[in-house]
Amino acid sequence: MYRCPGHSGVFRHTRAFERYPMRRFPSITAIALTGLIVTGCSTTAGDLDAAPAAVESNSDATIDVQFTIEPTNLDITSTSGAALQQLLISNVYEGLISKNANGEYIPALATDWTVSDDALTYTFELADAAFHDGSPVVVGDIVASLDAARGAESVNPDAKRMMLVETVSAVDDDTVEITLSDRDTYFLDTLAVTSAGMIVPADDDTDRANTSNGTGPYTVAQWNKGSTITLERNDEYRGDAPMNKTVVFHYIAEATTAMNALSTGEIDVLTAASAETLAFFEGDDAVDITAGDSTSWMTLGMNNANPVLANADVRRAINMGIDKAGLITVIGGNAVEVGSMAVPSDPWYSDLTDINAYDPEGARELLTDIDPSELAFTLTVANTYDIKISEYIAAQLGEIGINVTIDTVEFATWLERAYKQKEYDLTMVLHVDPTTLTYYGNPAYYWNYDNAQAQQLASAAKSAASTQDRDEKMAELAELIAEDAASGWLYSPQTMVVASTDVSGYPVDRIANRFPVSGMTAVN
Amino acid sequence: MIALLRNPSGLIGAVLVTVVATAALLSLVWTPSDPLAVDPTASWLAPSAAHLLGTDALGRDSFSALLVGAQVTLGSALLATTVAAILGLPLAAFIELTPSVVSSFLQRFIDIMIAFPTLILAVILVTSFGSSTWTAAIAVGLGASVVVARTVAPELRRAHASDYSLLALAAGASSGRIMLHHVIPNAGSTIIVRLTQVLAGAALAEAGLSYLGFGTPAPTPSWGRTLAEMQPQIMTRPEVLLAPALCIVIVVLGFNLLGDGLRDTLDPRTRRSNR
Repeated sequence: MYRCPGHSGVFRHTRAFERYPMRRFPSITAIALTGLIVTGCSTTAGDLDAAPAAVESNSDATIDVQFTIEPTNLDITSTSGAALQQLLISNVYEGLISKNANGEYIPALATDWTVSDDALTYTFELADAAFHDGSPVVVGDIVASLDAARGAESVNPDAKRMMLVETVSAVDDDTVEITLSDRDTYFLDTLAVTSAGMIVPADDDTDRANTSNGTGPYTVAQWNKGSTITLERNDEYRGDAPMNKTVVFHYIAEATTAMNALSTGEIDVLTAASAETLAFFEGDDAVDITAGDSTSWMTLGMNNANPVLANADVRRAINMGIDKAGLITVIGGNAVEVGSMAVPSDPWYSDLTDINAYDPEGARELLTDIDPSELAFTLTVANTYDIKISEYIAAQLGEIGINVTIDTVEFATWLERAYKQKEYDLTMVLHVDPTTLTYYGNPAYYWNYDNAQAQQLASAAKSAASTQDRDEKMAELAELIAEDAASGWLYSPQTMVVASTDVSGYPVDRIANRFPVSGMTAVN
Repeated sequence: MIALLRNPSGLIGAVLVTVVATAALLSLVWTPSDPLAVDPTASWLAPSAAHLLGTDALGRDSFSALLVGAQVTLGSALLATTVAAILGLPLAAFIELTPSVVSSFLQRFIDIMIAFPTLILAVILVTSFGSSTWTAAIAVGLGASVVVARTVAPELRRAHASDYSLLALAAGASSGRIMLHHVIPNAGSTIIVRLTQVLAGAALAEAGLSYLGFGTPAPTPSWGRTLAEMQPQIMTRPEVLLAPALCIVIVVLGFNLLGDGLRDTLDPRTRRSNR
């Protein structure tokens, strides 16, 4: 897990497609904010993200799942990273509420909750729950956990999502009240699926970096560093019992190794399969291949502090110079074309792919007044992404008269130089935070994109009176940045899960930062 | 020269190196298609008349890329070898000319340098100065220079201790003059053989570094990087890895066989033992 002090990370190294094969070692990686904003507030209890179980499934089964990036530390309250969230959120740790496969909020440590009419006061009725060590969850644990996750001093990776929280207080032994200083349409999401919402005991001496004491349906049973982490069913769990006994997270970064492990039965489920892996398993009756929704964007970032790139016509030309459909072909498919930072599963999505669509002639026309010597940019890109994407961009922009030099760097160098110091012209990164769109309202973000209208829309979306209102603002923002070509949105990769036909019930949608395993079943 | 071509190793080596050199020179003036032009509609085409070795994921002509890759391989091998010669030969002469206190110190220094892996040196330089074919080649040349010094120095010593050198010394020649006029010419064959071996090592190092991502930066075609880019295809399209891998084999084998042939032809001791 790569911790980037002062910034919540929002990207992840991709292995969704073949990696640039220079890395032999699973690199530090995968930082992401969690959560997709979905409307509705359900109080129906139920399994998390569980598909119907196979009839003859074995409730004591052990299921082996492959992931690419291993966490470096198990402390959800202080360590960022999608890999850690995938492992722990909803499996080992829970928040007051959770979210089901349909994106509806469901009870977790709270049995019920109400939101005041002005959406500034949230009241939660606590469930009768216990931590893995047997101690009961009391109201003080909730208040202490949420207080620790917020404030300027907080080390919680999602602390900035708690910025609008004004007070967290115990009304009585079974009731917690949270007040906000301003409306926050993402707040329930923060509580349900981000590191900031997870509840830990207020007073215990658990070494959270290496073990866990949560309230979820699983405990961390064993961690073989560099190889696997085993989750064991918590038999004392208050809710529906998990449909399997043991789930082993196998950390295998090399696509070919993972492919072999699935072939030999060492693992049952392969998450984020590469195009080559899919080609290899195509037509194989022993496995199921499922495409899941993802909220991620391979983004061509343009530094608006560069005077040439500050010219919207140049940015438009860059977008018009890249044949995105062609790019999806060359990376082996399994991605959708997007015209802005929204994906079809977003409520605010509309098809914007026609804006600044591929048109090399039009792009050259936009650039006619620009001194050709100024049209030379360096594309700074982390070496974990497939180099052919950069080569493709460089070749296509070359066609419209833009000279691109590819500078491949280590991810840590990229974070320091491009993301923090903002020293780059063009860069490429996979954004995985579902709300990345709102970052166009932050002029200090690494794009240096300073657009008053975007800022106004992003803030209006956050404090919107209703989700409908928010979705309208988000849709407007998505269109605004598309017209203005604030960045290039190259494609949105689909999550491809390849699994043995012996297992079912595994999550496939939006699994980049949450992978609830309790509904998974296996026949033997 | 004729003797070299009569030697089977020498002949095969010369032919292989000539093939690679011809490809490199040809690619300077002509390639079947632009090796950098992408065409998503032509992704992964099978070999045909238009694309002798097919196309890669981006629809680029693989044969053209291999031709251009020969430039990178030969160019960096020659640069590395030049660096190795410019630094290594004077170092060898210096060791031979200086008093034993200084030379034994230098020998230990060379031992340390040899113990430091060349590829790691190259990775450090590339990480500090940015990846480029030339940075990597210079690093490889630096690493090879100490090996050249180490292997050439005993040969210089042999020539230096020979009767003709002693005779020159007796005749009042300066040590520099003896080195230039008597020692180096007589150690010439060893030097040439060593440098040919450095060429082989440097070509392999360039491929290795590029494979690891520390050599030639994208998009310039390089055999090592092409191999790396094709690697994920190993289960589904193994044939696409063959061409870049074979090219690397050809150039390394070519230089090695040429070196063997040169040694057999030039070195009087091996020549004698061959009879």
